[in-house]
Amino acid sequence: MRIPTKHLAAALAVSLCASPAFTAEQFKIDPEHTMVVFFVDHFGYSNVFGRFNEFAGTFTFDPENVENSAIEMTIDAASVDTNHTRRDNHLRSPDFLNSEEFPEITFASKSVEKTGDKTGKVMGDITILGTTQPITLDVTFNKIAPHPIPSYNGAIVAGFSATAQLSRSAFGMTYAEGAVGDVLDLRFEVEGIQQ
Amino acid sequence: MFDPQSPVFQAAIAPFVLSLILVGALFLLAGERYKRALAVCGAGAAVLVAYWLAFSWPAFPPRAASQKLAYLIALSTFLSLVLGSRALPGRIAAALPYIAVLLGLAWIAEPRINQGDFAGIALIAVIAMAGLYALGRRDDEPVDAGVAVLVFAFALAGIAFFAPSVSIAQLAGAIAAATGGYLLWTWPKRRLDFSVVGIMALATPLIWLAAQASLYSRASDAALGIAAAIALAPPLRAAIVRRQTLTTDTLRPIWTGMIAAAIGGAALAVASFNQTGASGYG
Repeated sequence: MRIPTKHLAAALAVSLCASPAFTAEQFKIDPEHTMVVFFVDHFGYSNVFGRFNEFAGTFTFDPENVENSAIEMTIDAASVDTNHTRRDNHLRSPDFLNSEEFPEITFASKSVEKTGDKTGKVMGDITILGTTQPITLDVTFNKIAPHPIPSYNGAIVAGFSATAQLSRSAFGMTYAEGAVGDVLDLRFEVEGIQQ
Repeated sequence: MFDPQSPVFQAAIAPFVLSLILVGALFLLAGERYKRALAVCGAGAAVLVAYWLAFSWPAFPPRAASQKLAYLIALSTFLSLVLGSRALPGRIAAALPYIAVLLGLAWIAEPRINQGDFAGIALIAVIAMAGLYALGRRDDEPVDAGVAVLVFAFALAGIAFFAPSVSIAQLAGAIAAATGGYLLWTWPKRRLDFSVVGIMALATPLIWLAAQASLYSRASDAALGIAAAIALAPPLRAAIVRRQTLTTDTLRPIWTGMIAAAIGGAALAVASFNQTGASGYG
């Protein structure tokens, strides 16, 4: 059967419009707009909030096939910041993060599962104090679009929010178990710039 | 006070009481030939139990230096029993603490060795060797070596607390308490030896712990260096206090303790000055 050229051109145009605007691409985590935050129980009274200020990483994101996405991240353990210098120095000590001996916290995804239009689970391995444990992040995809600020020169930016929990004792961090909770609530707010 | 989860119980009461019991048991139950030398092994075993109480037993292979210490303390306790049973020829026995300290130090410092920090590790090794030599020089004054270990353990606990690294302070406190338990058996009336057995059981773990503090905590290296001079307290006492009436078995350890405490006090003053933030929060 012969397809008229004008029909073929129309079909191609429709196909292009319907195809994903963004295919799987590599993104570099933007440290200025990414937050790695944790909350941990303090004697049951409240949750102390802290964050890591230094980190780096990349992710691959495919909006049409999120299962093809992946993320790797390295966090500088010594960059822990709870807005209290004495406590931060203690957190860097061998009692907690032992940042002189284990300067890096790493996360590498192993698989991604789509759970909704804008939600998914990222399964991966997190390494703290030299011990690797599996972790699952509940991720919400927020937005992918060219950045509106001119200085970005139209760079594509993707943004996510993620939460997870981990047990610090599973990594051998057992100091002050009665005072400082075992379970940490983690929250990641991530923006990545397409490379 | 007797809450097993309390740091005071884990770092002070338990190792002190256990050391009193175990040192006494070995002294009273071991054969006449062995009991004077072997008894101090009980203090090493008390440190091992204190570690288990405070931190639980780490899985093998251990990752962190603090976990490696558990296995190293078990090894030093075992080797002290071997030395106390006089199973080894004299020269090998004398060399064993040096070899153990160096091998343990290499294991603890492994991440730093991988980073190429040879100068810092070599300096720690040289200071450790000198400390062992100074402690072992005066075998005829066993209580003095024990007193030096006691004061060094207290000084390390204080320096680590200023760092702050409370787990190191806690283990140093446990070694001090266990050493105190040993000393009560042999002072004021001298009953026991310290010798190479005591050095293996108590001084060797203390050196490994100090190395951990230096390599992986914010403990003041200057303060640790000054504290290491506490090992010189017994020979310093011998040089400074010579009058016979002042150097009886009862009085001599007091002089040694005072000299050691003066050095330890200087180390703590430096640690306090250099503190990155003591645990002054709850």
